[in-house]
Amino acid sequence: MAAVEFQNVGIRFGEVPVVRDLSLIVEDGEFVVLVGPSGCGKSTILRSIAGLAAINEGDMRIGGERMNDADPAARDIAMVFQSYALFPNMTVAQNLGFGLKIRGEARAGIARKVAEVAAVVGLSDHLHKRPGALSGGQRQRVALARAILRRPGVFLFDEPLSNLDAEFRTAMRAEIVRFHRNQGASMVYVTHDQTEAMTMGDKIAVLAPLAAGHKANLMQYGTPDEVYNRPANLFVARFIGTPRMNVMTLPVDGGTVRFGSQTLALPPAAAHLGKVVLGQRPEHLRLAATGSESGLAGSVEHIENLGHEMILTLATDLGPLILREARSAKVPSLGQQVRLVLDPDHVHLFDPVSEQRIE
Amino acid sequence: MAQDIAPSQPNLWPYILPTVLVLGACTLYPIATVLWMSLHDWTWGGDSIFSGVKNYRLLWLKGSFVIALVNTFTFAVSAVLVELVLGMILALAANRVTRGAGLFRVLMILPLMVSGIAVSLVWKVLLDPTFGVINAALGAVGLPEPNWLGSTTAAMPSLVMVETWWQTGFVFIILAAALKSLPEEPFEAARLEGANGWQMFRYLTLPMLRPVIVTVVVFRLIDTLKVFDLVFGLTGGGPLRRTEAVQTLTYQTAFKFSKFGEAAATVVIFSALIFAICVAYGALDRRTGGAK
Amino acid sequence: MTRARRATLLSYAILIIAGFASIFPILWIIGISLKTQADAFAMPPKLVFVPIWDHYAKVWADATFIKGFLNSLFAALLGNLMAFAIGIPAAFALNQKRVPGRATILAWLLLSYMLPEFLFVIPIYGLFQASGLYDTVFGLALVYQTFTLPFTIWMMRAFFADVPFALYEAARLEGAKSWQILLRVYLPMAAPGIAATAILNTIRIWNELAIALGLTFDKAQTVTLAVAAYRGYAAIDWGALSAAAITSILPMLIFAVLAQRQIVGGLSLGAVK
Ligand SMILES: Nc1ncnc2c1ncn2[C@@H]1O[C@H](COP(=O)(O)OP(=O)(O)OP(=O)(O)O)[C@@H](O)[C@H]1O
Ligand SMILES: [Mg+2]
Repeated sequence: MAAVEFQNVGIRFGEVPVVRDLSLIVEDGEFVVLVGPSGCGKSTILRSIAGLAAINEGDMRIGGERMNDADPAARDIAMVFQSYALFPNMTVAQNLGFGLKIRGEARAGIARKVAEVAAVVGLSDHLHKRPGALSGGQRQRVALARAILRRPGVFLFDEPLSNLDAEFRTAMRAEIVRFHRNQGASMVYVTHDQTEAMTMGDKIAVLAPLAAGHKANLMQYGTPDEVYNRPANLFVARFIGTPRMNVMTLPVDGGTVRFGSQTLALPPAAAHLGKVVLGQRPEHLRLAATGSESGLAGSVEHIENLGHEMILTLATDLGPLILREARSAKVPSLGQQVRLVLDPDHVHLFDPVSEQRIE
Repeated sequence: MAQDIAPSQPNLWPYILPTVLVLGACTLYPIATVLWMSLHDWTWGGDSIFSGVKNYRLLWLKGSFVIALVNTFTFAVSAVLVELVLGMILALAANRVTRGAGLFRVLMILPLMVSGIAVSLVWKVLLDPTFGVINAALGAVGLPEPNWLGSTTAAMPSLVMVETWWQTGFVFIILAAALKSLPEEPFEAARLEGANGWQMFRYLTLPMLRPVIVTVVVFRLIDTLKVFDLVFGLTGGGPLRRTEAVQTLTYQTAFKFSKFGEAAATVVIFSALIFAICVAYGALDRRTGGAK
Repeated sequence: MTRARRATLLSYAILIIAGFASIFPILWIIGISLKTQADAFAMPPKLVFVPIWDHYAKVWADATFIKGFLNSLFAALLGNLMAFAIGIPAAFALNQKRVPGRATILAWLLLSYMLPEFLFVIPIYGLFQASGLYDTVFGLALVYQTFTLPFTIWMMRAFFADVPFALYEAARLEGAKSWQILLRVYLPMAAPGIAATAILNTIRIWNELAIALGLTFDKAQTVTLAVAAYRGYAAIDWGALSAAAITSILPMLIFAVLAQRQIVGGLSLGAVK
């Protein structure tokens, strides 16, 4: 049974549509990451699961039951907010026990459950502190513990790591993944950080803003591998991966395209088009051996040294191209003339009009 | 800013209803009644006979209402001007100093704690022409000793002076808080550009404080237009009506001479004026994207 | 001496003069309230004298004054209770964006706060005469709602607006009803705001004159009316007059010193926010 199911869901704020025609299934126990540029509706979709944003069209089901209009408290979900949303006037213990108290549970039961969950996230020593006296990471844990305590079918996270510093973020990332494995509950996780999206989720849903003219938000829904290696359209191709995928529009000539002196045969689906959009990730673009005349001519415009690798920006007739080169390789100097070669096995092709992938 | 777009938005009208009821009882009922009263010859217990605009015409013919209106506006505009200038100078000064600012703040809010009637008594004693300490001090250094509250020329300025002593603290507190909340960078940038103190005040401080100044001026203006306590306590409207204010006149008309219809007419006109100021302020505030 | 230093010195000079001007009248009247009649009227005024407590004894033996003092205390208590009981739920609701009529109610509140006292006093005088609320502290506290209720709602709304909305949402996810969210999340977080609001309401009610003058006669006379009764002594008995004035303002002066932060914060809140 699916944990969360969206069927042709639309959400509007006043007259402005923010989510349109969203259909997406989060299977039971799955970790799904919603990723996309700012304003694409990630938070809105997450909040519609929680019951904090109203759904205008379509159906949203949790555990098979239609939940469009259900009270937030009745949805079998728990949410971890970006700001953690801890009650500053209550101690950690009171924060954790708040929901139980509201539901009229006995004092002893509350205390026991709070102690249990505090032990799980390692907060046992901090139960009597207020949130103001905790570090960012500890607050994060309180928010997590509050969610765990509800034993929900679905955990919702809205950019829970964005307030933490880089080092701690990596640690918490691993912790949440481990937590998912232990809990076995479904999780929907919103982020605009690609690394989080690629490393944490069983599946990634890439979303685009309607304001940019897209007909629907959902651009691709698949495993991290699928999304990275077989982007369904130009939007996903450009959005996923750093540095971005190189993209160039090339004229089709007799079922082939030319990349400088390099000729690539197109698959039948692309052969009849007048133009095709060709994409290649920076790590697949190669520098030809010195003196070789193959591929496209270019000059080194900018070098970014990351220590273990170099990111080269090259000026070419097809516009600037980015190339990623291991540090160990022989590195050209700034302004040097080089030749670039495509890796024909890692070429992505897109229709220039529909922007959809061509196999 | 709070918002709620949840599907199962709870109905919050029960939370507001008591306020609407109390507000309705305390404002709509009086407004309607006062309008009605102003159109009638009104005596308590007796019959009230519809008299049309007679009460309003009387106000005009008797002239005392017009005098009170002129006095009230003279008082309000001069008091607010003085309070604004003094409050601004004090706020700027307090913003400069590091030590003693807290003590100064307490000293400035003390007069605000005093009731208008106590203020009146205090100043009646201080301004006493023969035994008052102020005239004693003036006399000691050879200055003229005015009859502050008793002379037709000095009474209104004296009233303004007492009002200023009483309420400048309010203007000061608000302007000081607003000054503190201004960002530092524009001033640092201006200093790098070589702006002097006056230029920074004229081109940075003043424009940035504008919405706050407008709000303060409107609040003080309406408060001073409603002046009652000081006139009641200090001059009783005299000498020769030189300090009669609209609200003291209303009080006299109603409770001394039992002419409730006429009193109601003064209240209607006066409330309409205040309403107009509120509306103008609302429009201004919306346009400047101002304080509230 | 640099320009900046001169400006700072000038600032200190201005503040010292203004501070002195602010406090001097009160100090002088305290002095007179402790002087004998002869000392009070002495020319030139006496700076050094033997303090006497006779005037305070006289004021405190005045049953009318005591009654006024207590009535004002009750009116402040009752006025605050009403304003908070009615105003806090309204402030909570008006802090939410999607309440129909929100802008109208807020404008209405502001207007009620601004309208002149006698607009309320004159018609309500008749109503109170007829209903028996005339000359009662309860009736007085009710009419005081024309300013305490708007003020309370405006203040509390500002304090509630500072509570992050995510807390409201988190509480709702935990199953809390609106009133539980108000009671357990918003009120505790706005506690300093309640204190500031109550203090300012109290000052306002304690010092109110026009409404009390119109709607009370004897039983419910307030402290301001009791003080006003000493106006007649202006030419004769400065000691009693001063003692009455000082006694009536002393509670508020103590307030000002103790709750300075709340008063300043509360006053500036409305305008700066
Ligand atoms: N309460 C609201 N009223 C009106 N418009 C809103 C509201 N909340 C969000 N929006 C709009 O809906 C769109 C989607 O917002 P949402 O918060 O879901 O974006 P997001 O993908 O989470 O972005 P971010 O990465 O910046 O958090 C935005 O254009 C936003 O301006
Ligand atoms: Mg978001």
